[in-house]
Amino acid sequence: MNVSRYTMQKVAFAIITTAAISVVIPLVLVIGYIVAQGIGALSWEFISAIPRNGMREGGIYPALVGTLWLTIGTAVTSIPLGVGAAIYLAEYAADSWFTRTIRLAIINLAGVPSVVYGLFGLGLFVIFLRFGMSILAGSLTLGIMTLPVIISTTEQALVAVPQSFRVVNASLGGTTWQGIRKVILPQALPGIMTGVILGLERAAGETAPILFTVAAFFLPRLPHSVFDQTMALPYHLFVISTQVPGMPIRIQYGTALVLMAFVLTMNLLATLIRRHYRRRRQW
Amino acid sequence: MNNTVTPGKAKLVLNDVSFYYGDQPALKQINLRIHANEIVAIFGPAMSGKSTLLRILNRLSDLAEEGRLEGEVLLDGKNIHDPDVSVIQLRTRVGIVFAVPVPLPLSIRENVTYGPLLRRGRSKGELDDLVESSLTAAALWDEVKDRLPEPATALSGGQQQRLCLARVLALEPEVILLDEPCSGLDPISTMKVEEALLALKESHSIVIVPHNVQQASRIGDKAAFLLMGELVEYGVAEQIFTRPKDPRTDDYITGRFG
Repeated sequence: MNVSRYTMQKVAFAIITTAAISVVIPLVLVIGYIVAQGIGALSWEFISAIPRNGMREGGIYPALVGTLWLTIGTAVTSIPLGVGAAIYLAEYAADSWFTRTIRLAIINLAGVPSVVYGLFGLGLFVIFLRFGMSILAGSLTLGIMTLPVIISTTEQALVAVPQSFRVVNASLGGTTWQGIRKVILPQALPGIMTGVILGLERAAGETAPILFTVAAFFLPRLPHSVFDQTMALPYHLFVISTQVPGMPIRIQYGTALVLMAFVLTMNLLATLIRRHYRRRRQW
Repeated sequence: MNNTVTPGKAKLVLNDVSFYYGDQPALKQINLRIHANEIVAIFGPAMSGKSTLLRILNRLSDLAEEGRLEGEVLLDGKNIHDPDVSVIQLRTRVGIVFAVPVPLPLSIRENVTYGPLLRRGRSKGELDDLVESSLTAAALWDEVKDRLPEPATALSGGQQQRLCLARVLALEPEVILLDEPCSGLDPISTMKVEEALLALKESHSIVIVPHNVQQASRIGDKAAFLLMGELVEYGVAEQIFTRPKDPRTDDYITGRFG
């Protein structure tokens, strides 16, 4: 076969362009389909009323609030730990068997299936620590699951800050910690926030980790404390899609639409933060 | 080695200082005495250990991975590696300006106040005075006095270099180290930096790695010629540049190698 290299170039270019475009297709289809099916269910009542008549009528208010609480709970448990660990790894830790072990643990943590986290949360938080099925147990479980994402994105954001800033800080008589607080962390903050939001967004959409630790099948009221169970959007979606006979389809897709909007809004927020700071960045 | 030792008490003394990166020696058995109120120019070809020598003087060399120091460095007679010496405090007494200016991603003013604010609380008035005096001494005040809140990165290269000098002066150091501070500068900026240094000599010890032999001879009171980590010759600058004792120094300054 004697195809000219220019033809080969065109063929290769066509293939990779097709690949790039086809990546977008599923996303567009998923969003388009859910919006088309679910938009009819949306109303103020749908997001502000409790479910009625075996969840076949009414709204999803308790599930929406529950997911909001779980997201906040996840943030509270995972951000300090994750950002702290990342600062340690990026700024203080020397390369030793100890830090290599920590890194290996983080990589493995990222690979654990989410349902295993759920089971782990059930064993540790719900049963052993006697938190019961509760927002606390669910937040801790989701928090641990989110840790690897937060640690790795935070570490990348810190490492991306030029080394010369650290040397300048030291040369002006600054301690490592002063350099981190005054220069490195502020510069890395947009990257850290982006990573944190992306991690939380994933947690907000997870079903398996909350299945055994917090999610209520049907609890038509708001939670009273962190020791209370709550409904949550992903699990509610699972329930009304598979467990309730005679469920109107538009309510299922309406719920999916709200969950997707919740997650995509966080995604958008992360993008906006990144864009805003990238424009202001001076290096 | 021909070491012309000026009588009197030395500000900085290096006794048999060697430095290794891993197994590679960067400096070999350096003996040097640096006095107050003089400019010492350390010159020599690339990779001769000039930057390493500067960084040893305020222990920035501590940051080098696998770096190892032998010998002793005395500041006012006190070994700077003694356990009771605070490396943080040492670096404010011995400030350094790097070849490539690195303004911190802060405002012009915040760059100058960065060092002082690391140490202790100061009133705004004191800081204002310090900002003005430091920038004035670095020959930058007139150009930036109306734009202190602006980002330091908005300055030109020459201005950034003088800002970095001002940032070090705000530490109120006793010794100023400069690693090719004019390497990226135009002749006018270079002249301004050199004028600033000549004025600063009145109250500081200055050790400079000049970016060429001409600059060494223009501003150096003393000159030290480093070659492959070895101190070949050290003495009064005028003498070194007119009547060097070592043939290698002669070869280098007359441009036979380099």
